[in-house]
Amino acid sequence: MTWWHRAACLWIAMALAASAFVVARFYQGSPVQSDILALLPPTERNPDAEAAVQALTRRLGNRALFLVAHEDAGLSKELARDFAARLRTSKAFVQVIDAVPKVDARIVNDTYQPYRASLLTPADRDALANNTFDPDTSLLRRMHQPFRMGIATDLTEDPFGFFQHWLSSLPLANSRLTTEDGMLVARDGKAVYVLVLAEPAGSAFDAATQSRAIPAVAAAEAALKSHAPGATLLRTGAIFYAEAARSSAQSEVDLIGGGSLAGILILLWALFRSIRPLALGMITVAIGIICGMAAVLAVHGQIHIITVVFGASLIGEAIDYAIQYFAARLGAGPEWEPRKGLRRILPGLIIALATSLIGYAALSLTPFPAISQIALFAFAGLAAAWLSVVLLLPLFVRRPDKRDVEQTVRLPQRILRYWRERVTPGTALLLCVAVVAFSVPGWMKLAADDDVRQLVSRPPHLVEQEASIRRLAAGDASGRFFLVEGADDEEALQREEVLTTRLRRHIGNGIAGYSAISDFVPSLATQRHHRVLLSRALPADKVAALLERHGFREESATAWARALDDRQSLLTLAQWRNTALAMPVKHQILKTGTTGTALLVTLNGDDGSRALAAVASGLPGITLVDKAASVSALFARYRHLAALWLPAAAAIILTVLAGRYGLRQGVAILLPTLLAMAAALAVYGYTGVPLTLFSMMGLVLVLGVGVNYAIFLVEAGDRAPAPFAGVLLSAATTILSFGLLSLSGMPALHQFGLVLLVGISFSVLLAPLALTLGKKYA
Amino acid sequence: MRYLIAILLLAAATAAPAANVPDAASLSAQFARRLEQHPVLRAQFVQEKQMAAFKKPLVTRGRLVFVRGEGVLWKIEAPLKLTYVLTDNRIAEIGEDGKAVARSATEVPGIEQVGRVFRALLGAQTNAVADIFTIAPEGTPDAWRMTLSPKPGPLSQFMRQIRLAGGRHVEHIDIEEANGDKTAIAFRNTSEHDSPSAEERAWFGVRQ
Repeated sequence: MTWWHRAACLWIAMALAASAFVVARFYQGSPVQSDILALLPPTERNPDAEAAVQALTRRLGNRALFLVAHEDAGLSKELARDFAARLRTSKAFVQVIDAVPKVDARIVNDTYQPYRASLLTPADRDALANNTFDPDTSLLRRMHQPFRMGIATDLTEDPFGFFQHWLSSLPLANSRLTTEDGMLVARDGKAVYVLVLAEPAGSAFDAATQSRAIPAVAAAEAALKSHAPGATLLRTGAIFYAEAARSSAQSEVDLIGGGSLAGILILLWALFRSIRPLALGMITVAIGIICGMAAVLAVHGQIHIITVVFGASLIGEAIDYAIQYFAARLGAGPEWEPRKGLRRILPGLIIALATSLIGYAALSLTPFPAISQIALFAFAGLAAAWLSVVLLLPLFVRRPDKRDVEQTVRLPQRILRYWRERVTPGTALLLCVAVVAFSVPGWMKLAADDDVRQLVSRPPHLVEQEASIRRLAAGDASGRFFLVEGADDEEALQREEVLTTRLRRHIGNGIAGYSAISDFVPSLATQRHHRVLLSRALPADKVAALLERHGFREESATAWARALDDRQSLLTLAQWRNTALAMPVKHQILKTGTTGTALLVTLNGDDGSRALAAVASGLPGITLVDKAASVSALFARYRHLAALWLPAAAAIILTVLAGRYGLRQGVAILLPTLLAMAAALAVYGYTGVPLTLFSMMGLVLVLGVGVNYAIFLVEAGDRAPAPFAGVLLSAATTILSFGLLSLSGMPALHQFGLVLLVGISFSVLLAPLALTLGKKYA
Repeated sequence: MRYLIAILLLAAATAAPAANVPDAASLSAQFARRLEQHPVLRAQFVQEKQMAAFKKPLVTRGRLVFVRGEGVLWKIEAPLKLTYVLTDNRIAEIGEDGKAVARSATEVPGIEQVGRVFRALLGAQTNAVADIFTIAPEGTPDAWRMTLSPKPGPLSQFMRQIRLAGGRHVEHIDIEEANGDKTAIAFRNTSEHDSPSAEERAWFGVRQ
């Protein structure tokens, strides 16, 4: 057994181990990750802000939201109750809420009653401070009003209604929905919508959770529709998006993987007419894909669906090395001797692998988990496929190809001859100038798009339903919120109050409202201020006379005096957060205590149209956290960086090329790819498709992969039609795979595929320039 | 949280003239028909409140205008001048200074429902109230009484009973709260009209 045999055995053993590892991981439960957040890098400089994003997502991100609608109000409620009951019995959800959480008016009243002289609404506070408060009128109005609104307070305890105003202003229900029959209801035109919330049993991004919850919803929906044909169901929630992404990824893997495989098989058969190259080529690809997957699983523990879909398109690239090998064998004819043949093509294969790896290595420098996973997958996958070709093929494909070369490669030969006869260095240079001249006006038209939504496919039917739900039920659309930090509770609350004063001016103008802890517990300073205002404007003796005049019993005056006098009774955050009222907003208290206090101010009905950063500007301790904007900003930054990497990567590749071929030939090899990139950018400009981070990343790949074809061509020399046929075949398989990738519903992969399709096509078309312009390479 | 509640289950109501038994459904039908013909009702009211906080009853006088499809004007004339404009989804309070304090459903949860209860009572669409109250009618169509008892729920925490009485029109509304406070509203000179006056129309146009 030679060292070669030993190395081959070792490699086969490693490949088998990798497959066993991958199979075992899938057997334990799908390691395929579909969580959108898993794709996003940490963006916030403030670790508390990052923690707040996570906390909010954990609390609200998992839940599914439904609106059951029918024109008959009674029926729609009945349908909603039935729908909720079906979800409950399905066991796919841990909690299904169709009834309004009970906020007991008495609990609200009792919680705040002792502190009522410290609690004022902004309107009452302003009236008292500006001396525009008219005690007589407000007493009379309160005495004679025909009905009570909000939480009714006792006239004896609260003669002027300040406390009632304050209780009524508590943001206890943050939505556009109203309560009817204990259910949350919205009306729109004729239809009556009833809200149902459901918390899936398990993470919404988990395949097992989805496979329980989605059919349960479908069954409940079918029952709903059969019971009342006029009923409609609107739904939204991460689970629906995640499931849609997973199932569309599934069909994309089938399409891209299956399409690439079928195409490759047909093309390989057309050139080689033998089962053996087909089977062995596929084995090298399979080893590559398995090793890529194993590497990602070993490093990340999970593999994201975006990587899986991209991985399927790697088939077309991984097959290239095997094609070069078989093409060399075909070209050698009867004199084929495996080791000698390999030795001849090995330098070219090494350079080709090196340039591709340089391209993918550049990708792995981005901080995006999504892209670095793709890069790792490709890196390991291509290296493994390459090793398989070099180590295994010479052992398994020993016999020469006995077919007549001239017959087999007639078409490639004709192309080569045509190129050689017609294209002189002069015309080649002219062609270069023409490509640049074509490109420059296109570059002028380039536009960019850094929207975070590129990462996820959002099926229109889900987006529509989400928009309807948001319109009917308000809720938070943008995911933006404010982080308020202070050395202690008091400082944080004071800072928050400054912020909410500003925020109130924006209500109805891009935002429908906000939720802030200080609206439930004002800062001690504010409470003291309220007390001073009340004592000054309405001192006990003056109020006693006033109440007497209006026919109140004496108890009212006594109660007023007592409330003003009790200087100790201020409500603290520490007391309040243990009350039942704090439960619904507890997640907005990120931390409290000796290490400092951090509070969240969340927005309701934020349509994302307002630049809210200005609201927080100049306020210490307040940060607007806008994950989507942060990620978009990061996209933009790396898109610009990619533009700087491109020349750097080109320089590295040129160094590698020059090392083997000399500077002139090296430049000649690189030139077709550079021109292809220039042309691809121009195509983007002309067609008006905006450039994204992902298309720029794709361009980096075009550089690494596109240059391979010129390398193979130069390695083969211009009088070798068989290797040229191999180059065409390689290009066809790569273009096929990336072309299929550009059909992906995931915007990021679509961008990737599109730029690769355009870039690689141009690289191949222009590759013969490397022969014409380079020195004769023997 | 609809404990809010309001209850001005008052009413500018007219009643059922024809049917033999004044059950809730037939009353609704009579009402609806009457309002089709004469969409505007005007009446004078005297409201007397007996409250624990006060030494003697509080008396409020004023006028009421019900306009089908628009809403209700509750105009207090003594001892202060104050107008409430109730429409589908908002309640505006307009004082003597002309300044309107409007509260919409999004500000005070439940206002929408208040308005709905309101219209239901005035339009005698008892279906809409039947989910909150148990309704017990008695008497004859010319002299009927209805006792509305809140069903168990937030409302029952502070509302004990509402009694409506009348003949061709609602004449009395008596509200008894859980804390013992009582409100008695008497309507006089109820009249039917075909259209609201320009001034009334202007009130409904009031926006903050």
